[in-house]
Amino acid sequence: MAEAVVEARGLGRRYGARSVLENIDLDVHAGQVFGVVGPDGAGKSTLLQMLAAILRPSAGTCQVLGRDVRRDPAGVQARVGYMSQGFSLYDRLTVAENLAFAADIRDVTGPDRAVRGAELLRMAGLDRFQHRREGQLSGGMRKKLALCANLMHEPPLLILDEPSLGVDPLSRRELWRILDRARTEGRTIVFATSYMDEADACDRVLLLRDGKPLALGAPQELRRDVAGQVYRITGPALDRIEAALETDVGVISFQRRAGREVRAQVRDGSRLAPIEAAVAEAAVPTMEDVFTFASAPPPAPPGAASAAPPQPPPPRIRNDVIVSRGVSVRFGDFKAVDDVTITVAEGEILGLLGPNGAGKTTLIRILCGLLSPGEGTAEVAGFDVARQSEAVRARIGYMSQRFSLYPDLSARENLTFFARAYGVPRSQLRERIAWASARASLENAGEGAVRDLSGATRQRLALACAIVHRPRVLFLDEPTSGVDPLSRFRFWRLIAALAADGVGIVVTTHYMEEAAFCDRLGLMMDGRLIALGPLTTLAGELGLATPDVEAVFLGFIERERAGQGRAA
Amino acid sequence: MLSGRLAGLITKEFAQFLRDPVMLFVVIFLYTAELVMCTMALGFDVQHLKLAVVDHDRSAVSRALIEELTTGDNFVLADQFTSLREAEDRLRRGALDVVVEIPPRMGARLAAGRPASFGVVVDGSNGNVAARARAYVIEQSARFVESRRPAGERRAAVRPEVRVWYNPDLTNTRFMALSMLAQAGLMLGVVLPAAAIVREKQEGTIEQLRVTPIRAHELFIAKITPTLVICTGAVFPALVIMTLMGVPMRGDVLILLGLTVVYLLSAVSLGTFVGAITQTLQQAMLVGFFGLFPLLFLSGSIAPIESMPPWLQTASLASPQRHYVEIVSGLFLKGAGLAELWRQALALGAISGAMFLSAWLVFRRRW
Amino acid sequence: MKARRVLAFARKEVLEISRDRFTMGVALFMPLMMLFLFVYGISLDVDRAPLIVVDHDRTAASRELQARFLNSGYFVLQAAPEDERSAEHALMRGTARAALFIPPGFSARLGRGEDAPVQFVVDGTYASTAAILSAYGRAILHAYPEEARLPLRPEVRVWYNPQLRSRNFIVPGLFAVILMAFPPLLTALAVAREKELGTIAQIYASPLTGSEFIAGKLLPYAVIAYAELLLVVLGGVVWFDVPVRGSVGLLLAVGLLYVLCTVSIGLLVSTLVRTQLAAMLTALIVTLMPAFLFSGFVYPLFTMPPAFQAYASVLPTRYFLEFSRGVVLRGAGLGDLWPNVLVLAAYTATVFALAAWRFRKRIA
Repeated sequence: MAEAVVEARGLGRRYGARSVLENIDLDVHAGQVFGVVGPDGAGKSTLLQMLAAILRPSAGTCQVLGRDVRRDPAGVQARVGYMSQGFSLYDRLTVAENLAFAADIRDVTGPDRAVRGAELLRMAGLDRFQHRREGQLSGGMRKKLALCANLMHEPPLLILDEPSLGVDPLSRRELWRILDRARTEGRTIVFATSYMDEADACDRVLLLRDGKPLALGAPQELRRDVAGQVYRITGPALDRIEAALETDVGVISFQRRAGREVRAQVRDGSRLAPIEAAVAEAAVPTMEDVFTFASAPPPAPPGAASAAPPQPPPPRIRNDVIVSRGVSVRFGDFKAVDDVTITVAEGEILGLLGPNGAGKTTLIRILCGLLSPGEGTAEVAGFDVARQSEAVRARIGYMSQRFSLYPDLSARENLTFFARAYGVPRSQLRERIAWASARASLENAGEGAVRDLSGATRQRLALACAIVHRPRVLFLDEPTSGVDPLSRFRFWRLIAALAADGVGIVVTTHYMEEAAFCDRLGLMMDGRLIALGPLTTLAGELGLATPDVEAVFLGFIERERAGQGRAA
Repeated sequence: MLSGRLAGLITKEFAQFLRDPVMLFVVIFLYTAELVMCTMALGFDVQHLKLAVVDHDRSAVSRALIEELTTGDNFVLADQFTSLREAEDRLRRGALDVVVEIPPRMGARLAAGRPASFGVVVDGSNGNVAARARAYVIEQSARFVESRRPAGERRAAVRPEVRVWYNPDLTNTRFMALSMLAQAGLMLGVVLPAAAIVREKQEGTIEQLRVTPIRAHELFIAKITPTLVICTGAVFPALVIMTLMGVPMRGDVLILLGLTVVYLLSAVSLGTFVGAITQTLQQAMLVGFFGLFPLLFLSGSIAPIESMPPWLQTASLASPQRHYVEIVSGLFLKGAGLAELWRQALALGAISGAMFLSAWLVFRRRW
Repeated sequence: MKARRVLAFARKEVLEISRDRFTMGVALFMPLMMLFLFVYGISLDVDRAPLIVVDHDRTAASRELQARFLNSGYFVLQAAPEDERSAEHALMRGTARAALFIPPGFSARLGRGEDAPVQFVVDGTYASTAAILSAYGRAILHAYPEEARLPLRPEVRVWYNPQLRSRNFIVPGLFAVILMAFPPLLTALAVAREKELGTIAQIYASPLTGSEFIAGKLLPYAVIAYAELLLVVLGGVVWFDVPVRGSVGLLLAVGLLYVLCTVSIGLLVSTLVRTQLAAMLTALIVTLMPAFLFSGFVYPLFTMPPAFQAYASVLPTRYFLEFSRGVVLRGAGLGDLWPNVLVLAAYTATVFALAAWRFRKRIA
């Protein structure tokens, strides 16, 4: 019987009167991979910090590696590996220097040290970058290096706070290769994540929401618990299916999926009401479904989406709202965007995928008129982005990765400000703000400062601000980063509704399952567009049987690398 | 007519400004507590200097001289020694400021109608204090000679009518208060707009602004408006404090307000420039702070400009604070008007124009 | 405390600092800039006060009086206008600091054996200058017309700084002020940066103890601060030709103690704040401003109200400032100034201990 590496009873933490985490009971056994899953602000980081003994619990007890986190924090700190959510290494030091520093402060000496360091770097694919400054690495590489730094002293327990947040799929895969290796070496891993596939791969999972434990168990147990409550619905008119699901009180949530299907989660004990001209069949629950059940509010919010019922697309000629021809831009010697030609039509959703640093954000900045293309031309909403950038700006909406809002203003003040900044006439302000709020399903943002809103609400507010002037084109740069799955699905429905209104949409994302919501995908690498087309077409090009986004993504990238290898 | 865009921007800036308790605190602190505190503490009234006596004469004359030196506010008799060597030890430790050594038979020489002299040693460690101590000794001994002249020997003399204009009690308080007023305006004028601009960069909201039709100069106008309004408004409480501290207002309040706006414009133009060239709040504060230092030095608040070397005197023309210190001391202390102060106003205008243009040129490249 | 870990930490710190040009620039350029600014900018030397003379008498006697003023070395002739109005205007605009009005019939009155009134006006805006000018003006007027035969003359010698050069006392004061201005700021920023970037999490979750962390930070910044001191001492002695009467070795030795003290203060500040901005503002409020205003650097402590004198006594700058002026100007030694050294030593130890105690390896 494996001994308990972590043993927590009634663990909780409060800041003043506000409780951020309470009643956590958990046991993690040696060699286990333990996942902590939950949306922004669920208390995941708080829990991990307490396990690493760098945050004092305000309730309950916790033994880590046989030491009490309260009585012997130094003992715990010296034995665990802890990786915080942000980047925790020194950006001005090189890869090798960072690794040496991590070893030094943990008293790792002797001849093994160099061997181990070299081995870890090789495994992380960083051995070629030993002398590069940490700050000049991509996000994925920085995360891998931070993991290596935490493995130098061979800790029996690794505590990782969202290690794969904002990391592209390729780096994510390498990160997990290192972790799998650590696991085979007998290390215990406790990590937080918002990726459901990662949760699925755990030995045990704790679901958190608003600081309270929702469920604890092995993924297969949790999935089994909701078996029979998940349906796949297919039919010719998905809009009509969704409208029917909207009115069914037994339905907790539903999401439109790629491949012309809708997935619905139904309350325990209730059955899906039959829908005209549709086939509903029970589906095998995934961790996403589990999370949806666990985090669903007791009464389904009626009218949330019905405020903006998707209208059937008008049967008219769809004009191209984005036309770029051979667009390139250089920063010094570095070609950030290299000869990109794309078009986006009215009502079309184009998804841009690619590793970090592939040029997705730069391309969007060019199309927004923020950056002049060095070569090539681009027209957005009928205007040239370089020469008529003012006219372009008045017709586009842009939402950046960071949900750029004013944290000290209220939701309404933010909306009013952006409406006026876009030149919405005073007489129409009220109406436009009401329209944008409804479109973004912002019914309860209230008057409080934006900094106090949840990540998901801030996300929808940023969307409302970006569409308040009724743009013809919408650019969304990683709009769902760090948001929980349920909120992500909800957000995608809003996007789909906007597209149905005829807005042309360009979106980037790291969540592969989201790519399935796009009409067409553009894969970028090293500034170039290496593939463009609907998911099924791209899958066919690679000869894949199923249109799996991740497989398509990795397939094209490998093909590209192989091509480069030959060229070199 | 204000465009809807600009009005929206300005409304937002005011809302953000008024919601930032730290900034509000800094504004109030600078215009009240800091002003009062520095004025009270840094009066620089060099009085009651510690004087020791080595009297080798011990005559009526030497005693009278000592009394003459130590009865006023300038010196207090701290100690008596029998030799200069003893006093020297105390002087080196900094326990004394002045030592007066009266030679033997000084009284006798004077009575015999022969000229005499006495020694004075001043601790030069602090040049300012030493210069004043020296001047006091010279003045008081001249007066002593004058008063000791026997009635019969009275001769025609100059009757000095020495007046100190604008500040008859020779206190540093008034000037200090006015300097602090100018200092507060410059600090806030630079720091607030710079922080407001850089905050947009740091929060990433600048990207969002750039995709709107807002123009660079509209952003500038919106960023400086709250500072201009609030700092101009702060002149009124400052006027009350000035009155309470006994700084007379001899000039026209309307001219003061008008020239204050001109001054603040030059300060916010510097702040806008700092905001344009920096990327993070920390950089902005460092640049702003270390930029403010020379401007303060060259303002004449700490030391008179005419004691600086000529090249620094020329450089001081670039300090808005120099011109404003001249404006407020002219208005408050001397009762000057536009006829005397238009040059300063013109200089401030030139500084504003140059800085706004530079800021706009820098900013536009990345807008 | 393990020396190995402290050294490893200090090595990392050195690498980081050496790659941060901005900080290096601030650390080494700013003290020199301040040195030049202070020396040239804070000159209260009263030797060229512009004087306006309005001479309505125009006789040999009135010209002689005027010459006495101009030969005194304190005044230079700015203008000699015909009327009082333009003199008043010049004072108001600040182009002249003093005015001498000699009335008509000045020499005639003296000739008749009567007292002759002469008006001497000083602009009181700069109280310090005005006090000196009015005293000199009075002395000159009292002595006229028989200065050369004045029966009793004070022979004033200024010790330690005979020419009353402002720089001779500004420069040793700067040793104290500059070391309080930059090292605490840089150190506080460095720790706050780790907090802001999140690199502190790695430190928290490691065996490094609080005192090891503090010592590792202290070492490199103390070296930088000491380099600043050497730079300013060199600049003051070589460029500005400030004579050092006492022992340079003693100055530099106690300077090392003071450096440790100011860097520790920066570290203490950094344990109390979370962001770089807060670190900077706190450092400015608790170190730079008081070091500049309440240390006796420009404004002598004895001219302040007792409450502010007490405040000044709480700050270490005052003690090093007195020490450094004592050594440089007056040639004082440890025998004269040992209490100051003792206070500094106690201060340093206390602040370091407080910082190590305050730096808890905890997020909250």
